[in-house]
Amino acid sequence: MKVSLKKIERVLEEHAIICCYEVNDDIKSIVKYIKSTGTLISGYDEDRQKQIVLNDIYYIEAVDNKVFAYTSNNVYELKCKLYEFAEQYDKRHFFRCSKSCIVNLMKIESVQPFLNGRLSAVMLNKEELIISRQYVPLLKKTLLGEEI
Amino acid sequence: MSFKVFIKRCFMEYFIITTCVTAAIAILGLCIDPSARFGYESYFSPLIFGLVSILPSGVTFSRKELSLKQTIIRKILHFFFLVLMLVLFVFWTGLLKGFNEAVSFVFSVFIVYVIVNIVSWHLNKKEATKVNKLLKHFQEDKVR
Repeated sequence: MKVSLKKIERVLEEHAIICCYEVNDDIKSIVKYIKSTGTLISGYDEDRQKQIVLNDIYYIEAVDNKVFAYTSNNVYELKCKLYEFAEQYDKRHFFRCSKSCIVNLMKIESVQPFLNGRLSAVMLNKEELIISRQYVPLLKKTLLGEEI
Repeated sequence: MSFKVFIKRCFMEYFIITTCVTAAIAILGLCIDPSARFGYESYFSPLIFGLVSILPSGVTFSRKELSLKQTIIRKILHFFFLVLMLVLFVFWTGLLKGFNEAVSFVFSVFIVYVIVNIVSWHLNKKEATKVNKLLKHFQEDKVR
């Protein structure tokens, strides 16, 4: 497929137009990918509202009834419940890896064995997250593209 | 981990322990004292040993996800209580009598505990390797 790129002014909204003969699975997956890359969500950094690109989030964690989104070097408070985030974005590379944490699968560098049948996810920024034992089979299913 | 999951895990471990104790009694018995004969009550010993061995597992239960440090501390505590329970049990039943016997018994429990943990770590490592392969494919697939 021929690809054309056109630079636009900052005042305009970024968008993609796909010219195709039919909307097949390949086109659908391209559309799904484009939609996920630009998604913005609202987060709070010391009471100031900011827009965070969904794909920049490394993981989401619930601490003392508050939900935080961690990017490579910032932490934002989200005004939603952890399960609400999971329900809304589980199809976009986000996976519930423990009771209090949702991880962006695209930001995991590798997984290492941990004690008691758990795994430790090493993120691209070298932070480590625990994947609970009960979530490991679900993780494998998700990575294989099976329905959970 | 929820309490229900913990109880399920304990049940599974209990049956593994009873099977291993039964096998150990059979093998060691045949090697050390093959002419010995027992009554029906001897069938209870693996079940009781299993129960005594599973009780200290309560130390490892936590509703929250434990950190590496917390897990290691719990493991040490678990081993300590396991040894204590087993030593008290074998002395109470009269299976062990002297200090030297007790030391070798604790040493054997330690060896078994280490082997079990090494095997578990190895299985976990295999699982991690499998997940890493799947993860790599998943990420490549999504970027493509």
